[in-house]
Amino acid sequence: MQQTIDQGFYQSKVCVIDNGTGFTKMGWAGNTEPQFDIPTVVADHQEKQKVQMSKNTNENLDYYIGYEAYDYTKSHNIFYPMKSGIVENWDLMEKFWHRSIFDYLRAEPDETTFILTEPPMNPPENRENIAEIFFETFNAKGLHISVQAVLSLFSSAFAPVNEYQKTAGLTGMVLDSGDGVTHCIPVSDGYVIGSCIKHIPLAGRDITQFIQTLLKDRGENIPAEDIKKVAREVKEKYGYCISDGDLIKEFQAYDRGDKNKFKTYYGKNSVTKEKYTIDIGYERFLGPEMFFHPEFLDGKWRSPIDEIIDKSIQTSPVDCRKKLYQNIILSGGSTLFDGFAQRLEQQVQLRIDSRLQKYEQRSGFKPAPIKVNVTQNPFQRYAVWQGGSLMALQPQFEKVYHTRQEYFERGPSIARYNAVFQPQY
Amino acid sequence: MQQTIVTIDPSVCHAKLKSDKTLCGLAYFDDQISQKGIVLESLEYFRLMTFFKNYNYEGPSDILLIYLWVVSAHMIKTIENDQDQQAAAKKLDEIAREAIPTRSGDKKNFLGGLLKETPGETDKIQGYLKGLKDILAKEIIAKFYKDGKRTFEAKFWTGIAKRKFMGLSYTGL
Repeated sequence: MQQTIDQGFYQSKVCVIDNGTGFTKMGWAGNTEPQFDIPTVVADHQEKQKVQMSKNTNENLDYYIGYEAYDYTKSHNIFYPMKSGIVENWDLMEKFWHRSIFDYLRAEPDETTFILTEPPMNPPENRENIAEIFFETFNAKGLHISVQAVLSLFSSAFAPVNEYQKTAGLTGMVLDSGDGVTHCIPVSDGYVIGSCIKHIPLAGRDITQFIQTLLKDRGENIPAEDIKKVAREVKEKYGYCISDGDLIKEFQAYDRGDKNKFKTYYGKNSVTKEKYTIDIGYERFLGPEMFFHPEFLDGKWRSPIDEIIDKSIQTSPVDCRKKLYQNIILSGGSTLFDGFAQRLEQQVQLRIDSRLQKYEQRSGFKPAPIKVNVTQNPFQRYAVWQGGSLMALQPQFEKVYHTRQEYFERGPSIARYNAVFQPQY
Repeated sequence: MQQTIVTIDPSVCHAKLKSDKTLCGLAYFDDQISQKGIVLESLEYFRLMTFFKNYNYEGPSDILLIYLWVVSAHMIKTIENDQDQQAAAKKLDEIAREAIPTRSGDKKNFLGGLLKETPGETDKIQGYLKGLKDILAKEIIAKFYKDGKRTFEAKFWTGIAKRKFMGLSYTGL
C-alpha cells in the first residue's frame, strides 16, 4: 500500500455490504474478510393475526434476519427478498438493511460511507431505489454501488498469482457462481461488456437439492428437518471435481475401493440430539459435475460451462479476447470445489486448441497459441467483498463516491453512474 | 428424441453407442462381444445413464441397451431389502423367466414403438432376451452379494435405480 493514502479518510469509516441471493457478506473496509456472512432471509411477522399479542412488541420492529430468522419459522413468515441477484421486494430489503446496519454492523450511518454491490445488467432504477433508501431513510454520509464482477477483478489484481495477472488490471472474464445463479461476465478495463454476459440459472442451491435427492433415494437415515443442512454440508466438505471428465473411470475407482472415495458423515439430530452416521459416495463428484453437464440438474440446459465461457469471449471485441482468456477468475462460493479450476482450464484450453488447429488446417498459417489461465484466489468466497474493501482504501475513492449533499441537491439520479477506476498497487 | 421404429436384431451384437454431445466422455463399446459382454457393459454404464436427460439413439444395439437398463433398474429395486443371497437370487430368476410380450400394442411392452414385431422371429427374440435376462440376474447377484451378504455398494445402486431412465419403467417386457 502506498504511504500517501489519506489516513484521515480511511478512519472516517466505510462499510462494505455485498448482498447476494443466498448470503450477505458485510463488514468494515480495510479487513480481508467480512465480519458477517448471513443468509439473505427475512422472517417478518404474520399479518393474519389482527389481535395484538402483547403491548410490548412493536409490529414494525417484529422481524428477524439471517440465521436468527430460521428460529422463528413457526411464528413468522420467511421471505427471500432477492432472486437471481436482483432485489425483488424493496420493503423487506429495507428492513434487512436496517437490521444489518444497526444490529450487526452497529454503524452510525451519518458518518459512514457505504459500498454496495449489484449484479451486472441491473436496471438503473434499482440503483436509484438504493440511493433513495440509503440517503433518505438511513441518512448515510456516502454511497457507492459497484458491479460484483469488477470487485472480484479488483481483489485478484492485488494478489496476482501468475505473470498474466500482474499486467491484467481490471480486464478478465469473471465466472461468478453463487447460490442462485451462475454468470460469465467479461470485463474490459473495468467496464462490463454487457452484450456478452451469459448465465445459467443453476448454482449452489440446485446442487444442494440434487445431493439431497440422491441421499434420500438411497434411504440414508437422516431426520427430515436436518436433510437440507446435511446436504449442504456434504456438498461443501466433500464435493470435488473430477480431473478429466471421464465419469466411468471415477465410478470404477470407487468400485476398486480406492482410498478417500467413500466417506462417512457424522451428524447430530437438531431436535433429539441423537447421533447418526451416513455414507457418502457418488454424489461427491456428480454434484459439481453439473457445471460441465447442466442437464444433470435441469434437462433444458445442455451447454457445459466451458462452452459458455468460450462463446462469451468469442462474441467480445477482438482486441480483448486474448486478455480475457488469460485472466479467467473464479468468484462465489460454488466455485470452491477441489479441482474445479484445473478442470475448467483444461476444457477451455481444449476448445481453443481444436479451433486454432482447424484454422491452421484451412488457412495454412500457424496462429500463435493462446494460454488459458483460470485462477482461484484464497479468498474466493469473499472475493467480491474483499474487492470492495480494497477499493475503499484507494485514494481515488474519496473523489468518486456519491455524497449526501449531492443527493439532496440533484436527486437519486446521481446513483445511476458509478465511477470505475484502476487499482494502484 | 427421434421416434424411429427399429427392430432388435439379435445377430448384430456389437453395441456401438454413437456419442451425442450429452454423452461425451463415454468411450465406444467393443465390437463383436458376446451376450455376457453386452450385459457387463450395460451394468458398467448403468449408474451414469440415468443422470443424462437428453438422448440420441441410433441402431438396434442402442435399443438393446435401453432395454437392459430398464430391466436392471427393476431387478435392483426388487431385491432392495433382501439381505439374503438365496432369496434375492430366487426373485431375480422369477423375473428372468417372465414371458416377453413383443407386440407393440401390448401394454406390458414398455419399449413401445421401438420394438417392431416381426412375425417369424418372435421366438428368436424371446429366446435371446431371456438369455440376456438370465445373465443379467446372475451378474447383479454377483455384484451385490459377497459371501451371502449384501455389499456396501448395493445401496448406492438402489438409490440410482430409483431414478427413471428416460421415463421408462418396467411393465413386463
